[in-house]
Amino acid sequence: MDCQRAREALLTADDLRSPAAALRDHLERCAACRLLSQQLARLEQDWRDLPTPASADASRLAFLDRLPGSLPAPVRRPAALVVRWLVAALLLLAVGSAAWLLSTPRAVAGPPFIERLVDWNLELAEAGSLAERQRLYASQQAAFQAAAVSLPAEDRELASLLLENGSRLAAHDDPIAEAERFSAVADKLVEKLHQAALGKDEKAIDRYARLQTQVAQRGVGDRLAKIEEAGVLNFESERRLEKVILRDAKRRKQLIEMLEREPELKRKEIRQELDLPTKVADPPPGLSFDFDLRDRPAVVGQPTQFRIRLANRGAADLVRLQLVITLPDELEVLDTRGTSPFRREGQQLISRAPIKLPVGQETDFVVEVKAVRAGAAKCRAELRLKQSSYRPVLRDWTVKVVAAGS
Amino acid sequence: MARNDSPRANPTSALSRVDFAAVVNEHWTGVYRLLHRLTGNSHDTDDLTQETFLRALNRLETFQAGTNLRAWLLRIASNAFFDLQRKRQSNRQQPLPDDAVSPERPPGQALETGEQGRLLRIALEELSETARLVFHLRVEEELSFREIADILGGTEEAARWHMHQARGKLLKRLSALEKS
Repeated sequence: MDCQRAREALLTADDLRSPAAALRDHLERCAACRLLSQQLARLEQDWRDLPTPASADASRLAFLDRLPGSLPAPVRRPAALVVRWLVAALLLLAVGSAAWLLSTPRAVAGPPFIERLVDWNLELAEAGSLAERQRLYASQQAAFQAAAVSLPAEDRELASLLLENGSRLAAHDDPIAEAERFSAVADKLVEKLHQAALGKDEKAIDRYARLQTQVAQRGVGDRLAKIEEAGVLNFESERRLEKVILRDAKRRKQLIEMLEREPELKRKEIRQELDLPTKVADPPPGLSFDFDLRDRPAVVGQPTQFRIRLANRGAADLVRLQLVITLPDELEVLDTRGTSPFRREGQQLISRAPIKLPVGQETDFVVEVKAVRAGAAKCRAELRLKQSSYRPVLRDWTVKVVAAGS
Repeated sequence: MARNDSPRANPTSALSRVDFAAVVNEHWTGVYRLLHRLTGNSHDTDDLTQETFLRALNRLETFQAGTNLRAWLLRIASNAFFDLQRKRQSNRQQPLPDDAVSPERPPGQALETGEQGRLLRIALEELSETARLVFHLRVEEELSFREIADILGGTEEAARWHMHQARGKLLKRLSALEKS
């Protein structure tokens, strides 16, 4: 065997620790190939010696914690499938007819129509049973569809969204799917509010601000509270729930930024109408919610960490806490540690599992970041918990970042 | 890349659903390590490891008793990783959705202890995802090239070729890094 073949044999070897006889003979005679073999063996040993990230164990425990005690067999009964297909077909029919009706140009209808549609959606969501929803749906659906044909163009998309939402609410009692769809409606209303602000249309600003708050609170917020109260979620549901919560946090951030940016939205009434919390809200009694930065100031290119500490100094356990941390572009997330593992979505970190904080206990969340440019990096942490009815308690802080060597 | 997570459907699978917690305890770290080598960050690793065990949970009936459970889980993990990569690539071609995940951090940027570990992670950037996967499955999991080929959905020769690439590039890059 020559060196070229020996090299090829080493690079494709099954196991460097037990080379084939011909290769072994060559290695005994050739120092260069022996060195290559030793380097490769060291490389593989180094690879095996790489440590397991500390987060592995925490995420395993979190997963096991949420593993249901008795696991249902994933069997779909034919009857259930038929029902699902029927429901899907009916939904398609409803959505299709709504789209057709809404795409037909007609005369103008009054603005209250959208308000009535929103009310109808919320009533459907709040109905006590699926049968009650179906009754409510049937009592109004035809009239709404008939009236929708004469909507002005700018309201058609929103009306279509609400009509579709109504038909789905009547077909299923699924709080997570409902929260997702109400989130989509709330997002659309924020978009309309922004357009109204750009167009300096005060009446439309008031209208969309009011509708947005209604949908965000009674549509999204109440669904989230219902889901949290029910408590038992499978894994997919938990991930969907996290996304709704993140979307809610993003929408709130977007609104606050719009209020700061758009002069038309600076009126006190609009802030009240949107029910945006003050930047530093009062936490429930006994909850301490603090932030601490290791390096002051942080230095560009250097890793640093901050710690969020939650402590319960009250008289009752605090339960179902969820933490969302939003970081600016100036900070790059390197790692997170804490009682609950975090899920990362862009510059946001969201705790995966609801946290329980018994009386007298405290828990830390450590976020390792790297500053990427100098300036004032504004960070925000939002905490939701049962004791604050899942409304966010906010903490804002600014990290001063300086250039290296300054 | 292989898309078949359940090639050996077996209605009499010996793996009871109630044993699943034991499976998680035994194999979580192995799956986690593979995914951490592939993604380079703990956030995606957390997500994908959960996703792997969820998929496994939903497909327990398809696992054939007597076959390599670890290899089956690693195949699910690999598919979950490549699914995520495809999803992100496809997302880049569309308007960025509200909740889009930020672009991946290169594997070399994760926190690591030890100088050699740090150099290894930098060298890793030289490798394609498939070469990284093959290298890990052979070196750490000690799977045969036949088993690796099954996971990749390719041939044994292709698996060996990826191993050749991985060993050659890692060695070259590490040597350059150590000199600098």
